[in-house]
Amino acid sequence: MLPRIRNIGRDTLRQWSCATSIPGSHRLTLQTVWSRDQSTKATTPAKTIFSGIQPTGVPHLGNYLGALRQWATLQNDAATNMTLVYSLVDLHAITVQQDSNQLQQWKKESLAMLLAIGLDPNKSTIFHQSDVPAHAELMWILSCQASTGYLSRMTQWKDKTANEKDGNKKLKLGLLSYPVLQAADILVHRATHVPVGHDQAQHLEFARELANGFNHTFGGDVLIPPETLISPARRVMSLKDPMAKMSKSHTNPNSRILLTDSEETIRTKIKAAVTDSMDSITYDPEGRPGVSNLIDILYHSDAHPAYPSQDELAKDLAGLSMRALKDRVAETVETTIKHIRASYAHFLNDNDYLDKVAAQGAEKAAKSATTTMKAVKSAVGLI
Amino acid sequence: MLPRVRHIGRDTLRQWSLAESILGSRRVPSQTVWSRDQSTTVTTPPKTIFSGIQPTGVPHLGNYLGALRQWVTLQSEAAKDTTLVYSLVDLHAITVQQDPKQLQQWKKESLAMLLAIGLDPNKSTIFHQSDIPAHAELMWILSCQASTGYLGRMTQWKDKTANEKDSSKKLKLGLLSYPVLQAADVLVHRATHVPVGHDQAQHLEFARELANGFNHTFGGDVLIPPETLISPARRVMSLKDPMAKMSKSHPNPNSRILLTDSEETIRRKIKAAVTDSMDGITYDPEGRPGVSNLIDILYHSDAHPAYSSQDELAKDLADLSMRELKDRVADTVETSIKHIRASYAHFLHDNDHLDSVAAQGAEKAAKSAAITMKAVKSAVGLS
Repeated sequence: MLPRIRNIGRDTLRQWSCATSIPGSHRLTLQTVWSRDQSTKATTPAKTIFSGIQPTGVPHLGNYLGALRQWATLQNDAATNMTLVYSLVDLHAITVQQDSNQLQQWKKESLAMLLAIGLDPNKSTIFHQSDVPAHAELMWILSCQASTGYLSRMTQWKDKTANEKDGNKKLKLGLLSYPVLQAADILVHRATHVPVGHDQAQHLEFARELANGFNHTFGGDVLIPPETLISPARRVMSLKDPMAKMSKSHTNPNSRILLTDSEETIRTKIKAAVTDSMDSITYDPEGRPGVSNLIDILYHSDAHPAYPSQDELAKDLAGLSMRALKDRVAETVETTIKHIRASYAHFLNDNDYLDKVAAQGAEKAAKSATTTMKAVKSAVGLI
Repeated sequence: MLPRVRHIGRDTLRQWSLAESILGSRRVPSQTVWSRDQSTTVTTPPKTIFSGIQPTGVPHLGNYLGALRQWVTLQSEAAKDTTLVYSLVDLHAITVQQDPKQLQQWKKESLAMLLAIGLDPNKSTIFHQSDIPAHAELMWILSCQASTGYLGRMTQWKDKTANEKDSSKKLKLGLLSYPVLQAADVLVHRATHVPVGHDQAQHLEFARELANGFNHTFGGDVLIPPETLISPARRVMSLKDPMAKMSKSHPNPNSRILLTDSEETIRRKIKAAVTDSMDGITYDPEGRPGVSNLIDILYHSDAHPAYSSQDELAKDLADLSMRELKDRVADTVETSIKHIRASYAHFLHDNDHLDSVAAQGAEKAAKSAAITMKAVKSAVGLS
């Protein structure tokens, strides 16, 4: 389990940080990723930032504060020579058994949500992975380079299949191959940077190895090994079990706040959040996980915060009752969510617009992928 | 090693026989595959026969007598509502390391050869596998159904990777996944029948399991489990090592007769074929493998033979000297090959025609695949 981030300075929290433990990655400072400064444009090569999102239901507050909110900011602050690509990875979603009708609905909801949080299909490329066959095409070609031994030792495969009897439904080729399709996603769009959580770092390392291995085998620089951007852990904990991360799959729906929750639901859930019976409000994640989670939510919700740390914020909250704290948290969350909630409802009911956005995204993504596939197929001797 | 076929009646040799050992397959009398009899077409559903060919160099006499010649017969005798699909499986070829330039050339040569033996792009669908992204797309979707345990136990994987150290170049995901792409090849074109050699029977059984499993999981009859047609073993042995099959890869080129060999080369190779020093000509594959191989070549070369068995033919050859036998074999082989050789040379130099044929085939194959992919994606919930 990842340690919770404590007392991290505000600047670090707002920045993507490069994973310095990744061999071969060089330190890339925030300003070169975000900058609109024209003077760096000449020296800063064009970037392509690729993000893959599982289309598995409406996101929760943890998803939003942890990643989604940054995407909208990135889009708005991006340099003009930066390409932003967002893929709803439905082919990855089916590596575990899905109900067909639910998957179809989730895809629609996920797309509506990306629009609701502020992604603009005219500024970014937003598409469904399965709409672009080149992802599967490059996946096959890369699988002729990928070692089965390496894949079977990957943490995610081992974790997901631990203790499964061989005949178990989980031991599917798609699940073993997951990182290879992920590599194809990134490499087919020539991504230079890929923001992921810690749990995907190993897969990104693998993608780099595949790219380098391909270039070594076939010559040239056909594939671009991307840099990993590890988003700083901005973990929102479960409201019912504050030692666990807020998640989509926890059996108790009151453990999470969905971006579609009504104001009333938000208040109900926050009110019922597990805290403790100690007096006053202090920030102490180890000793007071429930209360500290509420403080974290307040702290991270403010995009341009007044406080440099949770401790500073806690000082201002010290005299509040638990009820007053919860009221404040609920108000803040409602403020954060209400515009998204309204936009989402609007987009979800506009099927024509969603179809149009998906088609527009697929077209852009296909064009991007075609460039890569042409070079790849030529290098391999397929054309 | 497969037992050589002996004393098989002529009718059986000319017919495809269904593998009775294939579980669940229905017995289809062979004549309905070939028949033009209008009265059976009402009761016999239309067939789609799919053949995958590795584009790995000019075929030899064994390939021709063993399979390729039957394809042409099939094309001219097939019922009007039978669809014939031939795919040059270049994506399968790259599961072992290939030199890109050689692969590119081999693809061209293989296509020219299919035309040279008599396949007609207007009567059949002839295409390069990598030109149709749907093959890789369906492969991914099927891999979410395919068990890694099952694949790891397949004979071909075990044979090809036996005694390889884990880090060996051979243990690639593409090689493990080979049967799943093969299943995608046959299923994406809704093949009802697939002619293969014995060594592919296990893969076809797997394809049927994937199809049935998919239909069971997602409902309906989206995928069609095809029938396996095992071509009767018509084995041509190596001219230099008559206990081994004639092959493309044997280090001694004099062990095989290529369909591009000149008359002089054919005579020279036959002359140098390993026989023995016994008197007279008799058909005795175990005791006289070299001589019997020459008799087999004579016997199988005649598409409408006068003899009911090799033994009958051998009676007529009994008094020939070894040299005379070899002359006769060389004459016969030259007669079989010369038209093909000339056609091949013609097609190989007509790049425009080859490109046009490949494009025409890709268009037909893409149309066929699109129908299947639409139904598959809808069933899975991807669209």
